[in-house]
Amino acid sequence: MRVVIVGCGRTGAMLAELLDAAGHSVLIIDIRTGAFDRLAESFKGEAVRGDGTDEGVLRRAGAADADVILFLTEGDNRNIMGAQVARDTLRPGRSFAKVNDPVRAEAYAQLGIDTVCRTTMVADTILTAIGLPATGLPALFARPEPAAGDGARSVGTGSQPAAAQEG
Amino acid sequence: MFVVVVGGGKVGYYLTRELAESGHEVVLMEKDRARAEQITDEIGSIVVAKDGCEGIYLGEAGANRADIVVAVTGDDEDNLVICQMAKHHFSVPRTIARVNNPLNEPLFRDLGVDEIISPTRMILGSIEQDIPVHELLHLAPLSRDFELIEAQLAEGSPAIGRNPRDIELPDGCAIVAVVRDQEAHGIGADTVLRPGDRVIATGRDEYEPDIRRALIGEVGGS
Amino acid sequence: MPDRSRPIFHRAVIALTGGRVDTETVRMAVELARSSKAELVGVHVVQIDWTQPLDADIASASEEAQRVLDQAESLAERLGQRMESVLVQARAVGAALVDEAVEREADLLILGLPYRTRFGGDFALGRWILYALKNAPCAVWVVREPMPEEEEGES
Repeated sequence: MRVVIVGCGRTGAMLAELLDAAGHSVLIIDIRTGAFDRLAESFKGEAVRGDGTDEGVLRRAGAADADVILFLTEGDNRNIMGAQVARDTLRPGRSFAKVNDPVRAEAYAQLGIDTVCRTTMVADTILTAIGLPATGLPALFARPEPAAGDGARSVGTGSQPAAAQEG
Repeated sequence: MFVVVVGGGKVGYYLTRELAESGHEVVLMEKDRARAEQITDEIGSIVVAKDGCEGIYLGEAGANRADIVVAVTGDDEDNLVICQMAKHHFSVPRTIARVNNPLNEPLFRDLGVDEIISPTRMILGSIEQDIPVHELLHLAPLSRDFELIEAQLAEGSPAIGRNPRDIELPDGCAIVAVVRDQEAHGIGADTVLRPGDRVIATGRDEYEPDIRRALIGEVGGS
Repeated sequence: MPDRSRPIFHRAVIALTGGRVDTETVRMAVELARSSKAELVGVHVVQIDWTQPLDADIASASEEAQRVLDQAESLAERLGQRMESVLVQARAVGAALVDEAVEREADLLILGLPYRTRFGGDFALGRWILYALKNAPCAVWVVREPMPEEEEGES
């Protein structure tokens, strides 16, 4: 599997190493080269400096043939924008955006990108651990399954529906 | 008209002030508390010191009844998300975003932002218009990768004396009109290009060098 | 030598918060106005959030707002002084009070401050009080209610 990770923070670096060790082809992109210090020496994938929300950067870095693209930068909005760029241009099999604001995480799932919310994840882990009821919000806000012939997106005018993404 | 402006930089500040002075109801969202207080001191209690990217706060600022939401922060991704949240979460009829990176323009358009203001593009456009010959003028991006281009034909252009239909261009590019003597003309079988003609073409932006070669000629005397 | 015949103020705007402190501010204003025949205007500001237009039909329809005015007026009357009272809708309380004081050419603005702590921590001076202190052209008096007595019996 070809996996592209945008944002080499703790989560990005950890996933990059694990996926690499499991034999997948990993490309990780970060706007700062210093971020790659997090990667272990043993990491055999590629690390490219650049703005991962920019289609040109993604293409030049070799993200065009990705099966999965993860947007894990520190900014919710960067991740949201990147995931929409990727969805509409590179059309990977799947893509995920980390969105820590639950309101935006849910709204953008409705708009057709899968979002992962750390806020609800941490809250639920703690609530469950101390025996209290969870928030009732998911950690992964999945976009609605595209019905046959019907795009998942309600956004936009010019581009094709996201239905073709499932592969 | 009720306008919500997000981003209290120079543009947001002057825009809010002008709108208020011309009698519109307007609220400015600025997440930096110190900056918000400074603006409140100058233009009054029409500032909400909260982050307009947060759905809850955008609602508190009245997005539910806004006629227009304008996003003019310094970050393109924030402006995009503000407009998308306004449109899809609060059903705001009209959204306007400032785009700092001109390459993001088509993306914003595709993703449903109604109007896009690009300071970079405007300045670029006005510089390009000062250069009368040799250059292609980027009139407008039509969608991602697609551009409307104008070329003014100078003496020595390889296109002069030819019918636009005979000019070789890559597939997916087209000459759509000729502007001559302040009038636009479609391309007919008997159209013959002359010096001074302004040729309007469209195509994917990767074909720009081909369009340039066909209409302007080789630049740099090679 | 202070001029004892000069009244302390001619016209005072009194902020009515709807809380207990209103009793203090109105009583004080009445006592001071009595000797000098000064005018008193009680102002209750109803804050309208941005989800509604500023002229939404809220304050006049609110029984609570009417109660605040009635209470202050009748207290002043019982103490033998007439007090006009008005209801104002605004986005910001401080700015509305200062505007009202300016418009009525008041030479004194009296603000009542309940003793409150923010999230149980430090004492909180409301933003609107700071705004008035900073921006009102006339004199501003702030009357802080006494600290609540320590509740006993709580473990």
